[in-house]
Amino acid sequence: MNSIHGVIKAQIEEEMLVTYGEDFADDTNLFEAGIMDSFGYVQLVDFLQDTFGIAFSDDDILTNVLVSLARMTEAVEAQVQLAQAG
Amino acid sequence: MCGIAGILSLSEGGRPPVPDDLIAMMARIGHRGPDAAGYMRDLHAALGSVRLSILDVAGGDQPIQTEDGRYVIVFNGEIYNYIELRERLIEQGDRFVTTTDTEVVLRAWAKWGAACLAWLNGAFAFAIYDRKERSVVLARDRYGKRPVYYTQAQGQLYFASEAKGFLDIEGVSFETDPAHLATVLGTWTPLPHQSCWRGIEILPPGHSVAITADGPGTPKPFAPLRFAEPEPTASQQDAAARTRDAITEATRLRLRSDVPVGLYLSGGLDSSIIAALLSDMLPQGFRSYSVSFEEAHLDEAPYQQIVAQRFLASHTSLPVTARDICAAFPDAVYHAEIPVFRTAFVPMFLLSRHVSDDGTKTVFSGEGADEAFLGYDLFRETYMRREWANLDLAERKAKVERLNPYLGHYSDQTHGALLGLYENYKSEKMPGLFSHEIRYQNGKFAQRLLADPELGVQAFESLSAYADNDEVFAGSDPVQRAQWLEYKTLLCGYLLSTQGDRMGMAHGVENRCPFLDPNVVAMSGAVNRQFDGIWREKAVLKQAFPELPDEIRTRHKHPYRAPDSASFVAERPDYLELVLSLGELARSGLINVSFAERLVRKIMTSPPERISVRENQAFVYLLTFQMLQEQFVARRATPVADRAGLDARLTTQLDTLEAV
Repeated sequence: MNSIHGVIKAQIEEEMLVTYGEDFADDTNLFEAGIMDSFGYVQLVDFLQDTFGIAFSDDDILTNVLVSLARMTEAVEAQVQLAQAG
Repeated sequence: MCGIAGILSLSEGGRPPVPDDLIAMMARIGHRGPDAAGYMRDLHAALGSVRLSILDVAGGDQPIQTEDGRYVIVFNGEIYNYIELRERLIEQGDRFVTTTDTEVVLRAWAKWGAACLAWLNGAFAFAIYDRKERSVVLARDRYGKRPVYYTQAQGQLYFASEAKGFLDIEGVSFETDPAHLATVLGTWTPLPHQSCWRGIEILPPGHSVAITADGPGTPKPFAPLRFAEPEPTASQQDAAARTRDAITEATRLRLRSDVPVGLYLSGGLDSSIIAALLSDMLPQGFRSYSVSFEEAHLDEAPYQQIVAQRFLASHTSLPVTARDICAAFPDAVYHAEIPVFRTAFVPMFLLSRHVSDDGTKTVFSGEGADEAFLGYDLFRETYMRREWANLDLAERKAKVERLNPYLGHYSDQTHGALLGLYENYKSEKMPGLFSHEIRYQNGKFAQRLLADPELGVQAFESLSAYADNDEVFAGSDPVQRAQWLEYKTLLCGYLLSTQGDRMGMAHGVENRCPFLDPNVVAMSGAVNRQFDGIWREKAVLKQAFPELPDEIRTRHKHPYRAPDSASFVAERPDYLELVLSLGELARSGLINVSFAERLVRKIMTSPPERISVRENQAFVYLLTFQMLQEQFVARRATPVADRAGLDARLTTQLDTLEAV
């Protein structure tokens, strides 16, 4: 488990009252499972941007819809790598 | 407006109805009819009424029967077109004893049978006993303004305006129906045929049911919900003029009352329209009422003042605090009878008490306008999601920007994250329920309160099947489907019932809703989306009433809400133990105690801005559910029925053990 994954997981578990590994998997769509609502989603996107010092563009948001822990981790890792490379 | 109750013996040679059972039911619903009470009884049936006297105050006591004694009626509600129906009956030879609408319904039924139901323009639930056939028919108005429940025990069929009517009937037990509970948690309301109590039926709106000695038949619809086809109108101006005419006539009909009427003034467009019309129709003036909150984002008092001043209403605003909500909560939940997703019904309980103390029995309200004239952003959101794939980025942002401005997380100027939200909701995942998917996905959060997660899945399958069974729904476009779902769920399952009828009738106050006149609803279908591209909210309505203040005409729809979980956290009422104690949470066996415990802990320890809407909702669901278990199931905190008060106003008794 890398740190980005761990940080996002902890945030989702705390804010959305879930425990990964029990009822939900990394690739569970958080909307469809009723875990995330619009409020939680907006808060989570803000959290990711603030915590990791990244900025998602509209295209990022629309093409890599941040619906699961796995996809959020991927998206953040890609952004962080981009920032480091830049 | 009144309450009704009754008993029909089911088996041949069964015991006659026990008067004490009828009196017990009438006492339980006595709040609905503080002015008079009466009953009839014979060997096979008993019918009771508690009456709130609105029409023919002196001569309208119930039950009423036909001259030959064959038909007997107990009636709850108002028939607004009763004068026209009365004239038709007189033309055909009927002679009336009273000037009540109740007698009109009785004679209409005796003459025309079930065909008359669709002609009734009103808010009603009634029972007619046919002594010759030894049968009872129950009927309920088309949008669900007045309730009626029925159940069986000890070889008897019992019916009453509220489920609590059965609390003191031996053999009727109150147990939560887990499937109904799952529907409420998932979709905010039960389905129209779900009472939330196992074995207790609620007659769906727009239905009647025939009950014979063999038991109740299948409820039959008499007024299916239909959307009128758009009518060719020359211009928006023409549409506005016709809409104004329909609402004006609906308001005029609803002024038929022998007691003064008032108005619930919310500060929104719809009740302001009624204020404008009442000010034209009532030169002597009228009284208006509202609630106000300390919390600025919930309070609409400034707008209420503007409207009251503009239309010369004698206005009173009832300040409601978190402490008031906590104090009234147990009584309001008792009257609601079902689990609820927000606390906004509690201020309406307090307001009806204030209105009653002020001497007003009848109030107008703007209920129904948002469903008919597409007031909710849900309708625009549905339209936007439907065309999402065809919109470019700028168009998507422009549309998202116009939605839900009252929600904090929609106020972000970039709307970046919301684009991601809607990208995820652009195609239908729940069969038939596209318009409400975002709400229902959030409902899955509250369904995590269920010990049995499968119930949640089944609840949405039941809703999909229920909608799919309706041919109007099947043939409707996504926006109309959204309307259909609103009429069938939130309107009748919460707004007209929990927040409407139950809270008003808790203190003997009835509401009248011109926007629920069938002609107004039909007119809305004819003009909706013809001129406003759906995005200009209620454009036709606004044009129809140019006399409204600009502040009201230019306001975005502001949903009526009240302080939620923060009230309980701040006040810590004793009954919070119902959700703080693991033993209490486990008592019903229906609750996932570990999730409930986490939810309650978060609510109790987080600052209000960290609590999401759906977490608030889940908490209020849990607290109301637990309180209902206490009041209805365990009977440890059940309010006492006012039996002495009922006895004191019992005026009409037709007690005969002779069958006709």
